[in-house]
Amino acid sequence: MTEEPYRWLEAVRHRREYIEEQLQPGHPVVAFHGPPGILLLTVGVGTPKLFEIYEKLALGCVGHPADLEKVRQAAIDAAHLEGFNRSAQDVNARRLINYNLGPVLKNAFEQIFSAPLLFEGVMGELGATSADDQLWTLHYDGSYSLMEAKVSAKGVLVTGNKRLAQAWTETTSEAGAEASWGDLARKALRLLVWARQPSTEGLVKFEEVPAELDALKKRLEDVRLEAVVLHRSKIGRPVTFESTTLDQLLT
Amino acid sequence: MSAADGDFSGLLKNSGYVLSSGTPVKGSADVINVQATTVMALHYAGGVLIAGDRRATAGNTVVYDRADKVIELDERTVMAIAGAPATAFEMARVLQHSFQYYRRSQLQPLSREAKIRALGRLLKENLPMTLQGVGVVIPILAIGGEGTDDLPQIYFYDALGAQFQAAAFTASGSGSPAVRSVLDYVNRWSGRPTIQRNRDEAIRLALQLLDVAAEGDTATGGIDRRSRIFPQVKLLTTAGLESLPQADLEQVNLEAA
Repeated sequence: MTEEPYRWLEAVRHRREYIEEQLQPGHPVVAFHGPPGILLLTVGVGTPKLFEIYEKLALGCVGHPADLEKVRQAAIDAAHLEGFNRSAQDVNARRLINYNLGPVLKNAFEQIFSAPLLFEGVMGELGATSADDQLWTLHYDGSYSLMEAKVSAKGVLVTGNKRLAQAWTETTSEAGAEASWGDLARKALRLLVWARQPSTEGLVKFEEVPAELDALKKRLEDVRLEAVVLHRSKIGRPVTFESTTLDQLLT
Repeated sequence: MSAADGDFSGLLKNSGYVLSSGTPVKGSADVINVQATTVMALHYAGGVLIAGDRRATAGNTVVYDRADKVIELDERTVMAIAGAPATAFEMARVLQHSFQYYRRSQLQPLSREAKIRALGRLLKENLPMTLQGVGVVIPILAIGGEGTDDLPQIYFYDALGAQFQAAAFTASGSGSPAVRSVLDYVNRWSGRPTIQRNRDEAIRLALQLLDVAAEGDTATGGIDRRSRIFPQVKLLTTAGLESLPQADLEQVNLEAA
C-alpha cells in the first residue's frame, strides 16, 4: 500500500476521518489566563484530563484515556529530563511541543498500520506576567500552534467537534479584564456551557449563552467539573499547579 | 522498574546517566576528610528541626562560607548533607526530580517509605566512590507526615545506604560528636529533653549546638558574628516546612546572648 502514493493518501484520509469521528463526542476543555494565572476547565468523566507537566506547565486533553496517557507521559519524561540535565528554567512549552510532542504525534498519525493516537490538547505555560503566558494547541496529526494574545485572551477551546472549534475562532473576542480567579472561572464556565451543545443540531451562538453565574451553574449542575490552575503567585516554587473546584475559584 | 512506573532513576539511566563513576580504583591515597561539616536534626515539641552549618572546606582551606547543606527535596522532605559536596548535591538533585516526577506521572505523592529507600538506593549505588574515599555521603533525612496525626520523622544513614530512624536526634559530619554529646546530656540529665522544648527553645539550642561544634572542629562554620552568617535552620511540622530567615536566627542569637 505504501508504495502507491494514492493509496497512502487515501489511507491517511480515512485515518483522519476515523480519528475525528472518535474525538467528536469528547467533553471539551477550555483554557483561560489572566493576572492570577492560567485556568483549565472541563467536565470530569472519571479519568482525569487536566494534568501537571512541570513547574509552570499544565496540559488539558480530549481523546482516549490511554492515548492521553501516552502523550502526557512523553511530556513529563521530556520535561523532567530537560529540567534535570539543564535547569527548570530551560523547560518550556515551545521546546517541549516543537521537539517532542509534535514529532511524536505526527509519527503516530502517519504510521498507518498501527493504531492512531486519539488526542487533542492545550498546553499552558505560566509566565512572569499575564502577557508572558503561552497557550499552545496540539492536534492528533502533530500540528500545533501558539495562540496569539488576542485569541488566548478570549479563551482557548479544545474540542473534537470541528464545527464548534471553527465557530469559536470566528466568535468576536470579549474585553479581557479578568482580575481574579472568579472572573476567569465565569468566562470559562460560559465557554464550556456553549461548547457542550449537541453537535447534531444548529449551533447556538455564543452571545445567546447567559453570562450570569447562577444561570451557568444551573446549566452544569448535572456534571462534575474538573479544574486546575497554575498560580502566578507561586512562581519560583517547584509547584505552581493546583487542582481546584469551582467554589474555590469563585471565593 | 521503568519510566512508566514513575521511576526517575530508571528514566535517567535509560538516557545514559550514571550517578557513580564505576568501579573503585586502587591506591586512592591522601584522602581528605570528606565529612567536614556538621548537620543535625532533633525532635522538639512542635515537630522536627533540621540544621546545618554553612562552611565548605577542602583540606585546611575554607572554600565557601555560605553553603546550603540543608536542602528541601519537596514540600515535606528535607535532606541535610554531610560528605563530598559534589556527590551529595547530585543526590539531592536526583531525589528532588524523582519525587516530583513520581507525583506528576503517577498522580499521587511518593510514600514516606519509598522516599527513605530512594536515598538508601542512591547511597548504595555510590559504593564505588565511597570505597575510594572521595565520594562518601552520610546524610540525614527528615520527612513530614501525610496528615495531622502523622508526625514528621528523622532518618539517618550509613555510607553504604542502610537507613535507621532516629528516636530523638541525630547528627552527621566531623563536628557531630560534640553535638551528640551535648544532646545526650540534654536528653538524659537536663530535665528538659528536646521533645519538651518549644519552637524558639529548639532553634536556640540548634544554634548553640552548631556553635559548640565549631569550637572544636575547624570544618564547621558555627555562627559567624562578624559577617553575620548563621547556620541554616528548617522546621518540619504537621503544618508543613518552614525555612527560618537569617534575620530571625540573628534575633534568636541576640536574645540568647
